[in-house]
Amino acid sequence: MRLALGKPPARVDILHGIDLTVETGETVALLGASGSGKSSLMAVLAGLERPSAGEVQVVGLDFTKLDEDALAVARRGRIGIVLQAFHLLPTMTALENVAVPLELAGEPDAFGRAQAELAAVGLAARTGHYPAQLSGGEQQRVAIARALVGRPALLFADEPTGNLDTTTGAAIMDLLFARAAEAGTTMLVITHDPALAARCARVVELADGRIVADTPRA
Amino acid sequence: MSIAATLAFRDLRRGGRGLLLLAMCLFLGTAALAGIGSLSAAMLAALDAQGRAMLGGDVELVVSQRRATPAELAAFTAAGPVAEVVSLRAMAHKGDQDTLVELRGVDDRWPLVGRFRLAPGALAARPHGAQVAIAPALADRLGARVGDTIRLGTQPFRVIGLIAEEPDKLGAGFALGSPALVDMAGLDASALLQPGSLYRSGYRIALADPTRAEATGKRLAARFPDAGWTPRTTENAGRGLRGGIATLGQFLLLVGLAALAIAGVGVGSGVTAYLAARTKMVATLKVLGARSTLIARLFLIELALVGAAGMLPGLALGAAVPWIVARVAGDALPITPRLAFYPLPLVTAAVLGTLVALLFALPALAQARRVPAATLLRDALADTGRPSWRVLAAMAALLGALVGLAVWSAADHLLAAGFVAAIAGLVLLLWLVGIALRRLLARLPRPRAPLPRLALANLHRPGAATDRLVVALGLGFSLFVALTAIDASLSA
Repeated sequence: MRLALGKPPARVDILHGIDLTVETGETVALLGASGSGKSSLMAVLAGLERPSAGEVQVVGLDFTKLDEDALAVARRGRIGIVLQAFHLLPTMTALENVAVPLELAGEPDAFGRAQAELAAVGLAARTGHYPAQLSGGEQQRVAIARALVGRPALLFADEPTGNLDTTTGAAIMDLLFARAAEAGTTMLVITHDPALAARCARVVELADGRIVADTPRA
Repeated sequence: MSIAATLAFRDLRRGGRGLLLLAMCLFLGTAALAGIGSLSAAMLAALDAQGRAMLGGDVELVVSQRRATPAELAAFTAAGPVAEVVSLRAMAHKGDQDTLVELRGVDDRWPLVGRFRLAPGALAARPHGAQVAIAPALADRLGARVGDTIRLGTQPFRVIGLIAEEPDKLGAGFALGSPALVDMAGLDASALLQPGSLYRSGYRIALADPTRAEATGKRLAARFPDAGWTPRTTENAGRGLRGGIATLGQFLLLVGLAALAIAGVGVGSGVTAYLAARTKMVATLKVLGARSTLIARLFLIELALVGAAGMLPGLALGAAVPWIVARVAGDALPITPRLAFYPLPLVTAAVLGTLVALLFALPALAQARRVPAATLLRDALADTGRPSWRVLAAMAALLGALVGLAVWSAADHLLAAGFVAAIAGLVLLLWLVGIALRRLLARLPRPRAPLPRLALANLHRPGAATDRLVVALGLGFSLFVALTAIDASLSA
């Protein structure tokens, strides 16, 4: 699979000849320096970017044949995404933020399930708070709850602890791995942190848009 | 409630302040249009309701420079009770003061319709013989008070009171002088009615069946075919005033439309800024599974709610304008507005406001719909490309509907069409000026001082609002100049 962004003459090749298979239930760390293509690879795998060439099969769907709207629908209930900057909806409470993916998917009892998910990440008492009223760690826990509430088959986490202090970051990752394991979710974690990568079953390393190492652990 | 409506309500709950500009623009625009339309309708309705009083009967037969012969008067009387009014212009004198007056001589049956009333302090209920009732303005001009004597023609008249209510005053048409009223004996005594004098005799008839007014007028005029009788009915009483009100209403409506066009630019800017600030929110919703149609519906609902929040008070204020004007400027108005609820001007204002809001908000809505989910990971370059043909077609349809309604709702369609074409031409010209300004600024050498460098760069950077700003300022200034010029020409 290849990815190039922009229009000539400013077109930039981001990913070159990526060939990656991830098994169900695997936890994979994507390592690499800044600009190595980690986030772009995640964007393609999550259906946020369409590759320039090649094929992308995710959760049984050929993403290369779907347009932007079809990709959005494909993500519902199948793919969860946790980003470094949280990206909570600022005009909605924590509970509403977590309920939104279920509401978009037309799931029943969205608020009941969102309430339970927030309780599972330790935020039962903060459901009525808006993102601006929460700390960074709390916001990231809301983002994790939002990503996991639909019981997705696949979870992407792009440097989920990048904006948090070490202690909070470690607690967040404990929570993320625990919740993913409970749900049997396949997880791809983008990180610079070797300690975090060490918690994954497999480490894929990228450099200049290519996979340069693919190491199963244990 | 649909998911789009649910998300829209949640978003407005905390973030609706960003659309305050939209609400204010629509409030002012619709209030102006609804107010102008309601006042105009109230004045015209008052004219319709007071048509009989303004004419002084159901039908009037008018002849110049003579009075009715006994045979003619007998024919008129056979149709119903008749009141005679003779009108002419004359000079009134008091001491060394002279002024032009609209003198009316009335018989004892006048007025057949309505009530003649003198201000408190009058010496009698109505003038008889060498007595005159005069308008307060005439009293001021001559320095006359009740009980004083003024001269009309060769005859001195005693001022018995100031006219407070004269039912057929508006139907008398354009008047150069202030009114003065005498009875027929007084008019004869003034010796102003001489062969060759310019005067007009009117015979108002109250009919048992007012619906036969026009037919009766034509029949009586036809009975004396060579006598020069002109019949008038309540339909054409106050025609000049009606035309004046309609013209003023139309002028104000066009001013309101121009103001609404300027407000539209404000709506466009406000909505663009609001939606630009929600780019990350749109991308987040798409990441979570929202389709672009849902995004468009969500913001359309938000705009509709905020637009309604601006327009409804605007319409309410517009509907109240006849009451407000009657209270504030009641005495200064030629006719008291008929205070009632007039739905048509309100519906017209609401539809025009909605069309303007949609027209100017559509490009920003289409842009928001196109925000890619990947914007969350990297700031995708703003899609500043030309709107799709579907958006352009929708804008053309909205523009067509807007122009069509504006022209249809105006009294003079040709004038309104010309006005709309002039605004369109002006917008195009200003837009070209804005583009030229941007290109010129981009080619200028960059100033060394940081402040002017930043200021100039802000005017020509990609995405700068220079074009819209030039259009809005130019339109506003043009409207201001036009209003000033019209005011100056009316005052001259």
